[in-house]
Amino acid sequence: MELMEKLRHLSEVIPAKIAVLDNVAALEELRVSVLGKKGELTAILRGMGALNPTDRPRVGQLANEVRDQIEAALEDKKTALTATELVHKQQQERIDVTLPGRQIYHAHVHPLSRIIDEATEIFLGLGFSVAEGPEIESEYYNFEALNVPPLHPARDMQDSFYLREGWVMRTQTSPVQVRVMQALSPHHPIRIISPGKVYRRDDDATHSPMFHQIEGLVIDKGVSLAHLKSILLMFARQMFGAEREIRLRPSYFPFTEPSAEVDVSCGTCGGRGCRVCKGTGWVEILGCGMVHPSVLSMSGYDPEVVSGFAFGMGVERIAMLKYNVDDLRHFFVNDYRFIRQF
Amino acid sequence: MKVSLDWLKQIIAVEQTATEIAAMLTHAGIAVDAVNKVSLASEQADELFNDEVLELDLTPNRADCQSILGVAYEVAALTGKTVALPDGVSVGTALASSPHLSVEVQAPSLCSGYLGLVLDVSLGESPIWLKNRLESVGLRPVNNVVDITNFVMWEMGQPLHAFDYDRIAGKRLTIRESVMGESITLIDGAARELPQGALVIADDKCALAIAGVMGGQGSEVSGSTRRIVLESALFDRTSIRRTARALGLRTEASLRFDKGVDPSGIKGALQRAVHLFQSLGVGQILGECVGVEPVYCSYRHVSLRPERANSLLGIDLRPAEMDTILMRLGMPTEVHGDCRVVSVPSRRGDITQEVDLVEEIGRMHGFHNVPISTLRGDVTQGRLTEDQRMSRSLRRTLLSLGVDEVITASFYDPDNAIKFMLPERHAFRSAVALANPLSRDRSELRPTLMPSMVGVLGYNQVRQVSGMSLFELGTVYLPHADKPLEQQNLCLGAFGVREGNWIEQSAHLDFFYLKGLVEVLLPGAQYIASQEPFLHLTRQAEIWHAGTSVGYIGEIHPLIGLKERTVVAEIAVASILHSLFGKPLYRGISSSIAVKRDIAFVVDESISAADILASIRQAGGERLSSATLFDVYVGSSTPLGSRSIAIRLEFVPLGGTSFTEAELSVMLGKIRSELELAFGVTWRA
Ligand SMILES: [Zn+2]
Repeated sequence: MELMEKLRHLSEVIPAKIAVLDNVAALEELRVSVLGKKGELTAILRGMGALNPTDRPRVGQLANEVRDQIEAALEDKKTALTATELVHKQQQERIDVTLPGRQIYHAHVHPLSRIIDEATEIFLGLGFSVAEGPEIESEYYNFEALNVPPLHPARDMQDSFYLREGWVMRTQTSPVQVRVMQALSPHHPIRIISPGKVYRRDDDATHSPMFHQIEGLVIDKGVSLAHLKSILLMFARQMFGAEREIRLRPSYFPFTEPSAEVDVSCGTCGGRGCRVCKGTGWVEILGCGMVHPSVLSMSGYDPEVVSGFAFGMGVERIAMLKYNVDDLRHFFVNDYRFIRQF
Repeated sequence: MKVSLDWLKQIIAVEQTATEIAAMLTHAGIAVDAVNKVSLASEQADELFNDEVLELDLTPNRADCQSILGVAYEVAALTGKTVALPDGVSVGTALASSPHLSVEVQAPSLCSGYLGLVLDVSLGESPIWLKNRLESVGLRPVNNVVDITNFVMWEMGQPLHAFDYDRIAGKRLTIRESVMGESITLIDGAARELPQGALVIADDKCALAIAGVMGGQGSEVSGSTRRIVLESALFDRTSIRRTARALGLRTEASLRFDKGVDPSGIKGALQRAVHLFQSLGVGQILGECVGVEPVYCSYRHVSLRPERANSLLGIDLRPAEMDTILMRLGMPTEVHGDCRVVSVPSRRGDITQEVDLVEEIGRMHGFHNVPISTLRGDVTQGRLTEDQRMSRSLRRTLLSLGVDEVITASFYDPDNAIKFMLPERHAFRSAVALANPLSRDRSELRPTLMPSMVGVLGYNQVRQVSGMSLFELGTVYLPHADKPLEQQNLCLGAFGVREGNWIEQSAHLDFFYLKGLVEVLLPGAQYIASQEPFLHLTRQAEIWHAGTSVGYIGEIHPLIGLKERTVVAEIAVASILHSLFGKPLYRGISSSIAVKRDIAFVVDESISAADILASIRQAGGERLSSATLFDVYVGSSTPLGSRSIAIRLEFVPLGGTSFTEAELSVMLGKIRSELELAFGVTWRA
């Protein structure tokens, strides 16, 4: 049984050869030399025809076993070698992952837009809509309809820019509110904010002749100062942080009564007192009040039926507090070292 | 308004410290900005007089707090203590005629009360305590007569004026409006022409004082003064404000009249002054008080519904508690059914209607005691308008394209006409002018955002930045027959490079960079060479979209004086919003595979890329899905005056089929012959 011997020999020698091979090419060479057309095992199988029929099944079975065994060994080895070679190839492709990435420029929104966007989101969430209006206004909308008749001392508080023919650059965004009231009175409730540019004839370290405001107006039946407090507290906490408190100090604006200035607890010192809050623990952020009955009736609402509140804030002031900006002028100079910080 | 604590304590016996009073007042709406310590000389040579001064920042409605007495009433309301009227102030003393002086009010609508009193005086220095009082609140002592008038003004809120009696011609004071061309030499030595209709105090010859504003030199109390007329009067607020403003004079007296003084105070102030003249040995009355007493009501009746006060403030006070609050403010109440009738003293001129009383109750109850309650009512949907949503998307699109946002002022410099070489009648020369600008370079409203953008870019160019790409969304103001128009514009500006690094090449922020941005914002716009004077002669275009001119793009003219080549574009926002943010409609995806073919040719330089692409699209028909110009070359291999252009064509077969080579060559042939015919191109290998 020479063939049987040969087969057993192959089943011992070939796996040993496979074991020591270290590349896919040599493995393929070996495969061909054993299983190829002229391979050793192929030759044996071919020689089977010369066997007598009684031996053939035994030898055939062994031959198949040996072939399966060798094929399996080859396959395993190939898998192993491929994996190793892939590892090797990747090792050749090593990069320095600490090198900087491709330059992708990330643009910067202006801090004032950022505050306006943020405030808008907050108030949209509270059910407010956004109203806009012209910057060039009539004295009626900017003053009279807001309870500031000609010669009222409050017109001194806000020295305004005038155009010829009596137009005035709006000194607040409240004229927008008047327009909305006129459009919706006498029955519709109102919840709006009006962001935008406003103008006052002031120019020093703490005043810019152009600045931005966000004003809010709510009109409905039974609206009270207590409701105003709740809206302002929600706003202050969303804008400045959940731990903030607010306080209202009585004040005076012609278009609201009672009126109040609103302070938010100082974020720098947490209310203990520091340089930012001048030791008081509070910083002023906005003015507000209950809409004056004359303002309501001038725009077509009956102050005996509805009441309302209004508030207004300077966007620059909010931005200065929120982003620690120390000088108002930065906002309009647009130095790249400033705008790229936002 | 400055309030000396020591002075205040003479009128109201409070135990609180200055800081405590300051906090109380601030929470009641009388803002105290600062509490300052002062040390002044005292009667004892080796001791100092120490005091604390509260600096009030009064709102314009609280004219009543422009005196120590007025602040004392406020403190009384907050503490429950009682105000003691200063010595000498009493009720009574009727007017009489006096042989020494007569007063004639010729302008009763501007002067509702005028009292004059003649006194014998011995002029000299004031005692130290009086000088200290004045100095503590920032007034400069002058002489005992003037000092007493200032002292009383500060204490009582009623401005007083002293004339030198012996310099009054005819011993008669006339209160009248100034006549055309009338002038007066003021105590500051300046001769001033009076605005016509200004209220003056005159003798038989000329104006002696501008009523309520400032006295004249002619009748000024001086070293030689032996007798004075002491004036305590009530002048019209508006008239005083107008005159003070016209003359640019803001005095302590004019400020008080402007905000409004208490009509009941004019006699008390005179009494107080007389008391001081007599007790300090400065003067004695000569004859009776003469003039016109104001007609006024000591109390104004305002009704209040407690239920309404509660509902506006969101609180729940009992009516009796409101009565207590009002009583402390010196406002007694009377019950009339569900209503209270409140008697408001004349010094509180700001309280005329119910809501004013609601405010008083609110601030005295304390805004901190108002609860926080959630707004009820119908649920409303917070929303942006379509335009607002689109503007927001535009801002976000620009940011996502790597463009930084700037915001600049709306003002405009008429000298931009020179800086930007604008000829007569250029649109950027007709700007809306402000009637009262802050300065010439901010005297108009901008009709274009470009100069501000150039300003920002130029500012940064000299600050060592390698490149910038900026946008501003802002209003431009266009002159119009009636009211100026406001239009939203977008301005883009760029210069330099966006620096690369070891792996990325630097990107040029040049004309074609900016044009790339505009192409995103305005797909399908046309660019037509233009002639803006502030742009580079041959690097500029007018942008047309949907049949209208919507803006311009170009390199800034080299003479404008920028350090770097700079490009700008300005576009009307409305045109962008409607082209970019319309509703998208899905058109399906072709299942056929596109076939790409490149063509390259040499063509005369004067033929524009836009014309070439347009005729390719025309010839290619609907199966040509895109034509991309991917190379332009001018060099040694192109003939002079021509350039080489390469274009990638993409064809998509209709209806899921595929092209045969024959079909392709027909389509290509059509394009080629069109190019040859129209532009005389020669083909490259
Ligand atoms: Zn602080």
